[in-house]
Amino acid sequence: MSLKKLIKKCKQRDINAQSEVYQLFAGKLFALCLKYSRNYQDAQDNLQDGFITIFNKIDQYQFKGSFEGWLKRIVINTVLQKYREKNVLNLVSEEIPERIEIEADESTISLDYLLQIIQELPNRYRLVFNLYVLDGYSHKEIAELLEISDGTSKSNLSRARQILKNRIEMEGKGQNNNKASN
Amino acid sequence: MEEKKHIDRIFQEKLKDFEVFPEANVWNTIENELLKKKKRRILPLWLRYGSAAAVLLFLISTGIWVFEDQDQQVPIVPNTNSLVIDTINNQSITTKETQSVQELQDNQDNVDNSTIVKERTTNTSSTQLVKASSIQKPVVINARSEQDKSASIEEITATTTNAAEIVITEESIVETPLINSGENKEKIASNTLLEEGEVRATPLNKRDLTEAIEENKVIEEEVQLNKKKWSVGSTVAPIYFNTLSKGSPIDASLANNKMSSDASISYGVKVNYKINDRLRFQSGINAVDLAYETSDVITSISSNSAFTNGTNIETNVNGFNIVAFSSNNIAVENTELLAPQRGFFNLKGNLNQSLSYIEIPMEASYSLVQKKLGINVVGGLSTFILYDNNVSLLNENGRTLLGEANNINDLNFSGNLGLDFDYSINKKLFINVSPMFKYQFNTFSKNAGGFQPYYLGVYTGLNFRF
Repeated sequence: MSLKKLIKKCKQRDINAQSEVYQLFAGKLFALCLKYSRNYQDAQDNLQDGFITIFNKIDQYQFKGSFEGWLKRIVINTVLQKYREKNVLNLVSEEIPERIEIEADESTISLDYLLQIIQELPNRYRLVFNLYVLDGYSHKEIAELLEISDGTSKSNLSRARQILKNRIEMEGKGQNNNKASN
Repeated sequence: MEEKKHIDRIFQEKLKDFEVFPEANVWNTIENELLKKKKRRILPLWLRYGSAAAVLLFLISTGIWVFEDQDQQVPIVPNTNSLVIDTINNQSITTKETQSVQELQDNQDNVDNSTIVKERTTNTSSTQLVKASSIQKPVVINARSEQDKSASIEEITATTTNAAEIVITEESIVETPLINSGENKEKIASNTLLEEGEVRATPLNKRDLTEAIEENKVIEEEVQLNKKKWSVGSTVAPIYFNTLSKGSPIDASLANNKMSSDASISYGVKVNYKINDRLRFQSGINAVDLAYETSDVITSISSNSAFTNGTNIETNVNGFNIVAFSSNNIAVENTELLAPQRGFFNLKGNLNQSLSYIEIPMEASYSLVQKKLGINVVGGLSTFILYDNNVSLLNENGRTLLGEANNINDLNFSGNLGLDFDYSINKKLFINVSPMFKYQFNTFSKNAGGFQPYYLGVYTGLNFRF
């Protein structure tokens, strides 16, 4: 069945079609949730809420632009909505970051570790980093989404990078030490 | 600036094709939520029945069983057996590939073996993980190659067939010093074992897979319990058999005689399959005994066939024919005086025609109410196979078998329409009562005398869900 047909059936609330759409996109969207959430459990909750929103709002998808892109935006919005509700985004950190010099051998860093350090970032750093670096949002768009200023978005991004860099370097050293001892 | 880009790129590249399937219960929660919402959307009553009527019309006019809906069925839990096989295949492929790479490397001098082996292992483990994603178990996946290589390598790696090609391509990129070919094997062995990320990743994934399979088995059972698709049951129904228009299939001259349904009965088994929440398909097999009586008939046996042409009764006495005529038209009390003009062995009484069929119904049922008491509309077709047919005359002297009707088709059909009420006793057992109207066609081969048979039956039965 074509995706278009499937989406049409979803608009008619056909549970089988909904299940099929879930099967098709859950993998990608869960990965997305994992990046945007603090931990595995939160990611699952976000995925659940995201999909429920998707199926409730699927009428709004007018077959313009990629369906996957539309799904991602809904899921991202669902996550952001939660943080807005919890008001956790209002802690301001406007400090000007120092210049970042990064030196890390990326080949030794596992994906698990990268995911882990993203999840361990403070909420707003994590969101800004994801939106800007991984999902290609501009600082202006991020500022609107998170109800912060452009400057805050930029400084948050720098802070996020700084933290990630430190952790990657730490891990890199750890691995080098391991290798040496072996 | 360049360094900043660098850290972004690490994340972008590694996470680009990152895909993880969530646990199976995530969908269950979503599904419950969606179904709850669906139920809350209460339709106005007229719309509900209006749409039911529309569905019914549609079912009847199209010959009913719409199987199209079946291909929408998506198994919620994937087949775990095939997965096991996939995993095994992957393992054997991994071994084979590693071996072939090793063999090739024996003949290759300037190759960075560790990179190749690593490349291979990464590649196969990612294949496994992609498989894993389909069984809904979270596993972190990195489909990207470990190093920032040209697109051509990625392509070759993706095809994973020609080891030699990979080796050659690797060669051009490798920056590490040359390694003595004699040491290659050893080096490969140690690399394969010690390459931390790989060694850790692979067994971990396997364990995840096994766990996932176990989990899924349990879930699958639960799902099946919740969604009983089949039911079987017995049915028995008293039948009222009649004609829509006046007429007698025995003899056109009997059209104005009083006709009544005789004790008719249908019994059998019924099988029911749930296609989706609302729609079910049902079939089964029933024995149907239909009988009706035509009052005030005189029958004679005559050797004059011209005389008996109008009567569709075939006697088992060779050379003789039976004629039936209405006694209403004969205003003479002593019919026996009059009858011999036409034939002999006259009998006066009620003519009984009985037909026995095996019925195979094919019906679709659409559910209107799904509570403890369920209400469904049923429509469909039945095929009838004739297995017994006789005509007899009943009077104060008892029953006289005259012969059989010679205008009954061995195979005929009916269009069925009715309601079905289900009452659940418990999760497995339910009683159903189903008043049905069945209109028969193709019953008679000739001379039906305007007889349009139908019957009404109230089918009741005890059913078992599984």
